[in-house]
Amino acid sequence: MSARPTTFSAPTELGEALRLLGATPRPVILAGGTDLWPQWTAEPGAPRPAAVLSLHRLAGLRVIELVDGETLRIGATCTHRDLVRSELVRSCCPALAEAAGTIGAIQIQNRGTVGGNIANGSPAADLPPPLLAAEATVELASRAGTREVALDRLFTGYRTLDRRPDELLVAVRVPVLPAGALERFRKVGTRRAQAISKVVGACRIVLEDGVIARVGLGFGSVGPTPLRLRELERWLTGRRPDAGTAAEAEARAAAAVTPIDDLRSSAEYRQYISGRLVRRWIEELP
Amino acid sequence: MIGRNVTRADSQDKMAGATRYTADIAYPEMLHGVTVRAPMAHGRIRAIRRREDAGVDWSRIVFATAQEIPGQKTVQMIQADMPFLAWDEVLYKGEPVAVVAAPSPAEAEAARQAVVVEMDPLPTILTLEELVRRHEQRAPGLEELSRWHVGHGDVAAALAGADVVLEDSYTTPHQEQAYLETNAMIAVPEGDGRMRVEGSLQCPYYVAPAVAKMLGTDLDHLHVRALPMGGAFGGKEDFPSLLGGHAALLAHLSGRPVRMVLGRAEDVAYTTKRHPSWTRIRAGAKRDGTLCGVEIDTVFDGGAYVTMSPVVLSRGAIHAAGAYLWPAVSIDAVAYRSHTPPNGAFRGFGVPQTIYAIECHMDRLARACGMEPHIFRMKNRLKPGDRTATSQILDETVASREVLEAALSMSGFEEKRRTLGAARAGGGRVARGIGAAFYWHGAGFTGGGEAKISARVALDLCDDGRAHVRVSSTEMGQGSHTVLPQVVAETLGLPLERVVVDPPDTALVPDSGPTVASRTTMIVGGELVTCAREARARLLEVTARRLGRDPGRLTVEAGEVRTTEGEVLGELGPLLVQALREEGARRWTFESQHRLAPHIRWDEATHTGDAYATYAWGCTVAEVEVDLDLYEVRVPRVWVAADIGRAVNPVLARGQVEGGTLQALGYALSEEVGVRPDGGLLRHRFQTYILPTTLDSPRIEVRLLEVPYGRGPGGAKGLGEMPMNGGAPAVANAIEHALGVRIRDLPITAEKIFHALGDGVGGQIGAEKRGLS
Amino acid sequence: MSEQIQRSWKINNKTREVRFAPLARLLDVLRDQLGLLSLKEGCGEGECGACSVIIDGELQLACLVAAAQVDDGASLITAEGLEALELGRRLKRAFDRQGAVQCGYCSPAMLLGGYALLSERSDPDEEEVRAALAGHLCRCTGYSTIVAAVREAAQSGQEEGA
Repeated sequence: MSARPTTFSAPTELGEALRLLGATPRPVILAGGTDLWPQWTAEPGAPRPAAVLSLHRLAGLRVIELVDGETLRIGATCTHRDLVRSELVRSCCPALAEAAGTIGAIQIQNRGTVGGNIANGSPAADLPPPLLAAEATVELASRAGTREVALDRLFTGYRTLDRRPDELLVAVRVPVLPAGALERFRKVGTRRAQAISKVVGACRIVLEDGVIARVGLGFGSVGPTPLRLRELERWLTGRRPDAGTAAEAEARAAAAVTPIDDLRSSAEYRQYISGRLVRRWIEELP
Repeated sequence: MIGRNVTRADSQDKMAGATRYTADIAYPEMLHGVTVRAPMAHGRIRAIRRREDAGVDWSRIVFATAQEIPGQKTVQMIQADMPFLAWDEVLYKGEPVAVVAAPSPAEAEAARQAVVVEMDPLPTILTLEELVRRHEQRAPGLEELSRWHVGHGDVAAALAGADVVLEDSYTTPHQEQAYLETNAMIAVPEGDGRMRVEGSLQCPYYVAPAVAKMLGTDLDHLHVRALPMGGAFGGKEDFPSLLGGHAALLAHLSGRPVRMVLGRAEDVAYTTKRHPSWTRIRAGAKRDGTLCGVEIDTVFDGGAYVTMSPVVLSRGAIHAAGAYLWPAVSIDAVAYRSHTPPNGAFRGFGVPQTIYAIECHMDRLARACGMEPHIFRMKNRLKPGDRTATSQILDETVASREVLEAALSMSGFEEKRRTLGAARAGGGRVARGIGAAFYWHGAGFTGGGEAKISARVALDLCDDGRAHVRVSSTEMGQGSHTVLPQVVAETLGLPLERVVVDPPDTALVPDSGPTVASRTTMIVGGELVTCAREARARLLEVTARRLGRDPGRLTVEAGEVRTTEGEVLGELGPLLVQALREEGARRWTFESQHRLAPHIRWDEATHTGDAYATYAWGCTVAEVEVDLDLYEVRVPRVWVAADIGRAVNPVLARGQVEGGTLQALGYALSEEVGVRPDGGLLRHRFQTYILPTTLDSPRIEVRLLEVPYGRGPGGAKGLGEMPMNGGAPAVANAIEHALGVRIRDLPITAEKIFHALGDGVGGQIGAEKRGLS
Repeated sequence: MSEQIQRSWKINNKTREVRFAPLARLLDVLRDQLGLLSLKEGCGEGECGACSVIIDGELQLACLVAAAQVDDGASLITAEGLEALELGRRLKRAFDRQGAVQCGYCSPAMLLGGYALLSERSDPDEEEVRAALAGHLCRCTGYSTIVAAVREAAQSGQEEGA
C-alpha cells in the first residue's frame, strides 16, 4: 500500500494543540468522531487524513461554567450527555439540554461533542438552533489569540465556517435565559431516536407586559446552513402573541426557510413544519 | 415438552458473545474476498481491466471472472438464468462481474478499486411505476419473469349484479430484511478435491447443488454447512448460493480458505429485497354486505433475474383475495424484470403485499356498504367447508372466527371504533384511530411443493446416550434448534438435555427442505415425531428383550422406562447406551420422509386445488395517534391474535409474532429503499433506511390460539411468516379512521399525510376544509 | 509496522496490552487483537449499536471510537465480562426467562445497554428503558421481551436488595 500511515497527536495543553494546528500537513481535528470517523472508516477505500489532532486529552475544553453571571461558557469537548445532565445548562439554556438529548441515542450522546456538532458544519445539526435562538457566540483560538464570533455569522455557506484552518473552536458562550423568558425546541426526525433531523427548530422568547420583547428563532435542515430567522424576529418584536400574530408568523416562517427535497423529506413538508412550529410556539405563550 | 417455555439451548453462548458467526471465524492462510460490480444498470460489458498503475501487487491477488468458472456459469435456482459473474449483458447496477481475494481486507479492497469494468449502456426500466405504466398501457418493453392466474366463477357477472362496486390500487415498496448480521460465507478446500462451504445461510441444500454445479463437482466432494445466523428472514434463502459460489471459486483457484463478508451498505445495496408491488382491486358486494366477486390485477417488480419470483408471486396470488368467501374471483399476477438488484424472499413472501391491498380495500368496501369493517369481516370470513380462490374446500382447522373474536375483544375494537376517529386528544392537536386486518397464511410449501421437496429427516440414538436430530433446518433466531428437540424429547421420552441438533451440514444431514415457508415445526417436526415414535418403540422392544419383559407392558415416563404397573426399570439414557452396546452398534438411525397427505390435490398450471395442507389465521389491531401539526404517526398499541395450531414453545412463538409485527409496522410507516435514476438503490445504509427503534415500537399484546392441525407435532401449523401480514393494513386502516383520508402507498410517512390532507404550504387550509383543526 | 500506538487497558477487570495503527477502530482492536468477538460490526457507522462497549462507565460504540483516543488505564466492559458481575448475571437470567434472545446478534450489546442503565437507575420505568436502549437495533424480537427483561432484572435486584 502506498498510503503513508496517519500521524495521530493528542496534546494535553491547548498551546500545543494550537501549535500543531499550524503545522504541515495540517491535521484534521478529531473530537468525539461521531461525524468524521465513519467518513474515514465506514466505506472501504475511503480517503484518510494525513494527520489527526485529537482533542480528548485537553481537559480544559470539557468544562461548563457560568462567567460574569450572565453567560454560560461550554467547552468544546463537552459531550451531549454532559449537556443533558448539567444543572447549569438545564437552567440557563433548557432548549440546549433538550436538543442534546435528542441526538442519536445514549451511545452517541456519550461521545459526540458540542464543538464537533457545530464545527462539522452540517445544516442538520441539532445544537445550533437553540444556540442561535439564544444568540450564542463561539470562541475560536489560534496562536494569534482568541476571537469571539456570533454563531449566526459563523456559518458562511454549506458546510463552510468562518474558521481559519489554524483556529480551534474551544468554547460556546450562551447568554443565560433571562428572567421571564422561555425556550422551546422541537426536532422532527425520521424516527424517534438515531435520527437525522428533517426539521429542527428552537426559540427563545422574552415577554414583557404581554408583548414579545425579544425573540430568537433558530432552525436546521431547512437551508444550506443552520438559520436564524432574523427578519421574522424583527417582525415579532413588539407584537402581542395573539392568534393573528401566530398565523402571520407561520406564513412568514415558511417563507423564510429554503429547504430542499432529499431522501429524508420534501421541501414542501419542511417549509410547512417550520411555519407550524413557530405558530405553535407563539400560540402556547402564556 | 410441547407447550413448555423451555429456554433456548443457544442463549448462554449468544449472550456471552461465545457464539461464532461467520465473520468471527478465521482459518490459517485465509484470504479475504470481495466482489467487483458493474457500474451501470443495463448494458454490455466491453472489457474488464486490471489497472497496473493503482499500486496493487496483482501477484498477491486472486482474480476471477466468468472465464475462470469450471462448471455451470449460472446459479442453479428455480431457473438458472442468473450468472455468478456477468460476462456479456449486465442487468443491474452492482451486478457481480468479477471477484478478487487477497491476504488482507485492505488489499482486497484496493484490488477491487483497481478493476475497471467498461460497459456500453442499454435502455433501462428501473421503477415499479414504470412497470405499471407499461402494464396498464400494454406498452412494449416488459419482460415477464412469472405469471399466474387464480380464480373461479364469472366475475364480470358477479360485479354486474353487485349493489356496491369499489375499485382502487395500492402500492408497496422494496423492504430490506435488515438482519443484524450481514451476508457472509467461507469456502475451505479440504484436500483430495473436496471443499466445504459454510456461512450464514438458511438452506444448505440450495447452496450445495448450486456451488457443486459451478465447480463441476458433486455433493460427495462439496458439502455445505449452515453456521449460526444473526437473522435472515428470507434474505439468506437464495443469496448465499451466489456469495457461496464466489467464495468457492476463489478458494478453488487459490487452494486457500476464502471468507467473504459484505459490508452493510453493500448488503443493502445489492442483495435481495421484498418485491415492490402494485395491486388493483375491483370488488363488489350486496347492500347487506355479502361479497359478490373480486377482480385483482397485481404487478410485482422482480428485479433483474428470476430468483424466487415464481413462488413469491404464486403465494401472493393465492392469498390475494384475502381470508374471505368470494362467490367469484379472478386474480391475475405477473412479475416483470426491472434493471435493479433481483428481489427475493422476505418473511411473508408475496403475501404482505397482496394482503395489504385487500385488507385496505375491505375496510373501504365495508364502509361503502354502510357496515362497520369488523362486522363486515366476520360476516364474510372463510369458514370450514368454504371454497377458496383456488377452489380448495377448507377443513376444520380454520380459526377465522376465533382470531377475529379474540383480537376484537382484546383491543376493545368496537368501542374504540366509536370513540376514537372523530375525537381529538392533546388539546385538539392529536387525532386517534383504530384499525384491523384479518389474514391467513398457508403453512408449508405451496401445493405440490412439499411433494417435490419430500423432506427427509433422521434421528440417531447414539452411544453417548443422546438423540441426535439430523435435519437441514437451520437456526436463524426463530428457535428451530430449540423447538425440534422439544418435539423429539416429548415423543421419545428422553430428557431435553439429551436431545441435540447436529450441525446442518449436507455431509451429515438429509435434505429436509429449506428453512422457509413456515414449514419447519410443522413438516420437519412432524417427520421427527414419526422417527421418535419408531425410536421409542425400538428402544422399548430391545430393553424388554434384554430384561426378559413383555414389551407391551413397558412405557416411557419422565425419562425412565417403567412397566405399566409402575416399576422403574431404569433411566432412558443409560438403557439406550446398554442396548446399543449389546448390539455392538454405535447408533441406531431412524429416518422418515414427508409425503403429502393423500387428500391433497393441486394443479400447479391452473393453480387450482389444495394450495396448502393447512392455514394459520391471524388478526391484527392497531391503535394510532397522529399529530395534526406535524403529521407524525405514533402506534402506541397493537394486538395480535394468532392461530398457530399448537404453540410448541409459547415464549418463542410469541417472539415470532412480536418480531414479525414490528417488521410489519416498519413496512407501514418508515421503511423504503427507493431507486436512483442511475439504477442504484437510494437508501442503502442504516443511517438512511429507517428501521424502528425501541422508541418507535408499540406495546404488542399477543394471544396465541390453538386450532390444531392433525399432522403437525402436537397440532402445530406454520407460524414464522404470518405475523408479517397484518401490521401494515391495520395501521393504514387506523390512520384512515383517525384522519378520514386514505393513503394507499406504503410507507405512510408524515410527508404523504401532509400532501394528502393539505395543498402545499397551506396544509392548514386543507385540514380545516375537512374539519380537522 | 511503523507508527504503532501502544496502550494498556483494563478489560473485564484484566489488564491487556495492545498495539495498533493510528486510525485503528476500537472495534477492530478488541475483536482482532483481543479476541473479544462479542462486539459485532452490524453497520460500521454507529447506527445499530451491535458494537457497544462500556468505557470508563460510559456506553459507547466501538466502531466510532478511535482506539488511540482510549488512554492507558481505561477500564472497559464487554459482554464477555458480564458473567463475573452480579448485575450482569441478573440481566442474563432475565433475558433468558423473557425470551429476549433470538438470533443473538444484538444481544451482547443489548445486555451492556441494560447494564449501563441499571448501573445508574435501579428502577427505570418502561419509557426510560426504551430510551436507554434506543441506540440498539433489534430486528428479531420487536423489543417487547428485551424491555421486559431489563425491567425484570431491575425488579429482581430490588427484591434481593442489590
